[in-house]
Order: sequence, then structure tokens, then C-alpha cells
Amino acid sequence: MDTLFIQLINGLTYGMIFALIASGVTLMWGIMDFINFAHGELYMLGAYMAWLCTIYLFGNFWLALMVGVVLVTIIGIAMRYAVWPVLGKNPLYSLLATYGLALILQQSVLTIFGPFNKEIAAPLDYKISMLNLEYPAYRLIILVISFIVIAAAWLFMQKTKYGIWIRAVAQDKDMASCMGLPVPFIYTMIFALGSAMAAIGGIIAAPLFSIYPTMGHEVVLIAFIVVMIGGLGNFPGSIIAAVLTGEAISLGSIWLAPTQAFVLALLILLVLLLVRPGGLGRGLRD
Amino acid sequence: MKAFQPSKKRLIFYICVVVVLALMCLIPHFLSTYEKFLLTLALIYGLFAMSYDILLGYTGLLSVCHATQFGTAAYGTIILMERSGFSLWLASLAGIVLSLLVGWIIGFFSTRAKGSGFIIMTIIFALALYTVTFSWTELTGGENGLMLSSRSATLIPGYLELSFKPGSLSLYYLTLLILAGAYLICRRMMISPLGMIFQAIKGNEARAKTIGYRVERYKILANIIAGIFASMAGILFMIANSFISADIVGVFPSAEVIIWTLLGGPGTLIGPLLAGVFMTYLTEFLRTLTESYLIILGAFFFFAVILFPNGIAGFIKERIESRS
Repeated sequence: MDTLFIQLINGLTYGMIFALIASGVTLMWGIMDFINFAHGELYMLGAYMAWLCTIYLFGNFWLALMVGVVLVTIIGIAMRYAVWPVLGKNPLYSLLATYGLALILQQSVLTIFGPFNKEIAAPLDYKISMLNLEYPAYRLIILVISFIVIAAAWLFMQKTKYGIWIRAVAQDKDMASCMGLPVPFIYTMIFALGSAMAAIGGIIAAPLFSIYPTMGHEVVLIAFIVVMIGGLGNFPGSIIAAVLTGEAISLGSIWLAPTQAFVLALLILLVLLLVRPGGLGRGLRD
Repeated sequence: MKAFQPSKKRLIFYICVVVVLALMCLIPHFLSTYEKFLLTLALIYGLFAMSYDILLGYTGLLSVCHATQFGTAAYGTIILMERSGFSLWLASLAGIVLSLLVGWIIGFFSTRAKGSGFIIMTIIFALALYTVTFSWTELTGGENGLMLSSRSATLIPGYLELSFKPGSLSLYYLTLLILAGAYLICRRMMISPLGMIFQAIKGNEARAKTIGYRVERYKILANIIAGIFASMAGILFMIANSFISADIVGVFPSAEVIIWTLLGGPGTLIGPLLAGVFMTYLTEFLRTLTESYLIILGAFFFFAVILFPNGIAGFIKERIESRS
């Protein structure tokens, strides 16, 4: 019973991290029909940047978080310029181009930093006692941070001028461009937003999962599954789907190894595809 | 669209085929064991790429899990041979059937996802199969892979033996035979009415459906045909190496074969075949250069797609057309 409860909260934590990554994916896939295979690498680079900052620049986790996010956002924007020729074309091309990018990034990191896991200490060691269990407070902090970031992103999309621009482009790119919206700049914004969220995810997850070159590759496919379950382009849908998947993987790893628990997430998706091919929520693109 | 050719062109074509085949039969006698092995491998990958062209180039199915056909057949065959003592031929048949079954299941679920979801589903399946192959150590040997313990198989009892030694000449000739046969069969198929239907599905699926073709069935048929040849390639690969491990399934080899097809020129059959052969040599060369050859390969993928979206053949064609 205790294990179940711990795994439930762990699942929520995983789910929120997946939600951060999946938000970026659903923004790019749902709005630009762009399959970014290198999105996981942004997550991974965020973690490595934070590690570098903590070791070489300043020992403070929170400063490393901010610097890491800024650096990865710049990389994300660079990515947008690199893949500009295939943006808007057949999604297979964007997939392959970003797969090439992901390979380059992954292998470069492997060559530069080596294959062994890097560790980064959690910013606090405090343990909270709940129901006669000691639960690391840091995991709860992850929940709070992810929730704030996602809520902020959602508010950005709903209330600010730029958010409305993004949603306009999502609905009808050509009409938005006719109305005078700077579509290429909006694409840059989407990349920046997605990269920033992925970087935050990578950095706050780093003390939990440790840092290694293939960490991005592992989460990006779960992110795609989450986006498909939640409905393409559906921001709140992907959050719910992320939490669901996180719980499934977390509860599944009571019986299976975590790598195999990913297959559970796939099974959920398969069942869903049989029953409701559009995903749980309604997608922006039907 | 490609259609049936007038007799003179056909004659030239068949003469070329005979000449090339004759050359290919003679070459291995001048090569070392390693070079023979590499050439056999290149032909195997050429067969694999050509099988994918049927899916991508002719039917327009953007599947990123073709390596699962390749790998499942190889694993099925080797497991039946090692664990249950089947002969090569029976095990191969079973391996092909297994791989077609897996392909059917993947196709069934993937086509239910909307739009570009199909691509993602195939990737997810490719990863799932890789995970299963990697973790199910009792069956597949996991990371360590499986080794083939037999040394040879009988082709014609008493007369012909298929040797499994690396650089084996008999395996080379078998591969050449299968590749040539596959190429001629596929080529004939693609300029037949069936091939026309595949191309129609690629051109405009909705219109094909409106005309009355059962598009879903033809997609499944394309999967089966491509799957058969990919499975053969996988089994030949298994024999050539006498060893397979989990890295023949999964996303990476699937992405590789897509790049080969795109580079060679989708829809030409011979283009992807040559691209597969060329890339085998390129990859081997890069591997001898540096341990981080994957970075160069990744850059290759990236630039191939950005610079040559219509393949090198298409690029050359565009250049020629813009001159005249």
C-alpha cells in the first residue's frame, strides 16, 4: 500500500516532466506539422548545461537553471533556422532532418562528455513526512515548478498578444499571414517556447534521473505517445495525457523494469487508437 | 508514370542486365575474403532498400519501421534454427511468415492514426520492438545477440552446399541470384496494373478510393510484398554474419533505409538499390575513420534531406530540365 502511494506521487512527478516536453512537441507538431525528433536532445542539453554551470561556473542550482534555459532556447532558435527548408513540407523530411540533428547532438555530447552518467545534486535534501513515510521534498518542488511553468505557458497562449498570434497561426496559417502576422517570427517563438519548456524539464529532472547522452532519446518517444493520446494540438489534453502516462509508467514499474514500462504507455495508445482515434481531447487539427 | 516499354528499349534493358550480372559473377574471384563479405553485405542492403522503395517510392507509405521486417525475419529464422533445430529453409519460411504477421499488426494500428500520426506510430512500434528484443534476453539474447552454430546448409543434396563462412562465395551467388530475381520481379510488378494502382495511391489516395479501389487492401499488399523482400534480406544478413543482435531492429536502421531510398530517388527501384550499396561502403569507410562516425552519419542524414529532397536522381533531373 505504501509502495502504491509513493508510486502514485512519483507518477505525478514523471507526468509533469513529460507534460513539459510534450507541450513543446504538441506546439511544433500541432501548429507547424513539424515532427521534431531532436526535441529530446533539447531536454538533454538543458541537463548538461545545468551540470556544466554547477561544476564550472557557480554551485547554485537555481542560477544554473536560468542560464541553462537561456542557452538551450538559443540552440532551439538556431534549430529553427537550420530546418527552415523542410518546415512546412512533408513531415517525413522534417523527421529525418531532425533525426540527423538528434544523432549529431547525441553523439557529440557522447564524445565530449563520455558515456558515464553525470550526477547533479538536488538543491535541497529536505524530506517531508506524509502518512508515516518520508518523501523527498525536491520531488514535490518539481511538481510545483512544472505546474507553474505550464500554467504560465497556458496563460501566455490564452491572454497575451503573442499567444493569440500563435493560436491564429495554428488555426489558419495563410489567413493569419494575410492579416499581417509575421509568421516566420511566430515560428521562432514557438521553437523558443518549446525549447525553454524542454530545457526546464531536463534541468529539474536531472537530479532525479542523472544525466547521460541518450536521456533525450528515451523521453521524446514517450512525449509523442502522450501527444497522440491527448489529441494533436490540444494543449490541456496533452497535460492530462502526460499525467496519465506518467502514472501508468510509474505504477507499471512496480512489476516491470522502467524501460519496459514504456511499452505499457504504448499499449494504452493502441487501445485508444482502436476506440477513439482522435485522442482523448479534441485536437486543433482534425 | 512508368508504363510498358517498346521492344527496342526492352532489348537494351535486358542486355544491360545480363552484362551487369556477368560482371557481378566474375568480380568476387578477384576480391579478398573481407571484400567479398562487404560486397555481399552491400547487395543485402541494396535488396533491403529496394524493398522499401515499393512502400515509399511507389505506394507513398511513410513507414519508419521497415527494419522490423528485416529483423523479425532474421530473429525468427535464427531462433528456430538454434533452439528447435529447424533446417535453414523451413526456418526461413517461418521467419518470413512471422515478419509479415508483425508487419500486418503494425500496419493495422498505424493506419488508424490520423495524418502524420502514421509516421509516429511506426516509429513507436520500431522502438517497442527494439525494447522487446533488447530486454527479452531468454529468447533473443538481448545485448549479446544470437550466434548461428551451423556451418552450412544443403542447396541440392550431394551437389551444392551453401557455406556460412564469412566471405562465402556460395552465399554471394545466392544473394546475387535473389537480388537480381527480386529486382526483375519488382520491376515487372511495378509496371503492371498492380504497380499502377500503387502509384495511384501515392499520387492521390482520395481519388483512388473514389474510383473504387479498395485502398486499404492494396496498402496491405504493398506491405506484404515489401515485407517479403525485406525479410529475405534479413535472413541473408543473418547468414552472412552468422550473428545478429538487437541493433538490426529499431529506429536507426529504419531511418537509414529511408535516407538510402530518398537519396537514390524514390520510385525508381534501381536508385535505392544503388544507394544502399553505396551507403554500405560509405558507412564502413567512415567507421574505419573515427569512432564518432555516427556524428558524420547524422550530418549526412541532415544534409541529404535538406539539400536533396528529391534524391540525387531528382536533383540531377531538375538541373538538366532547368538548363534546356
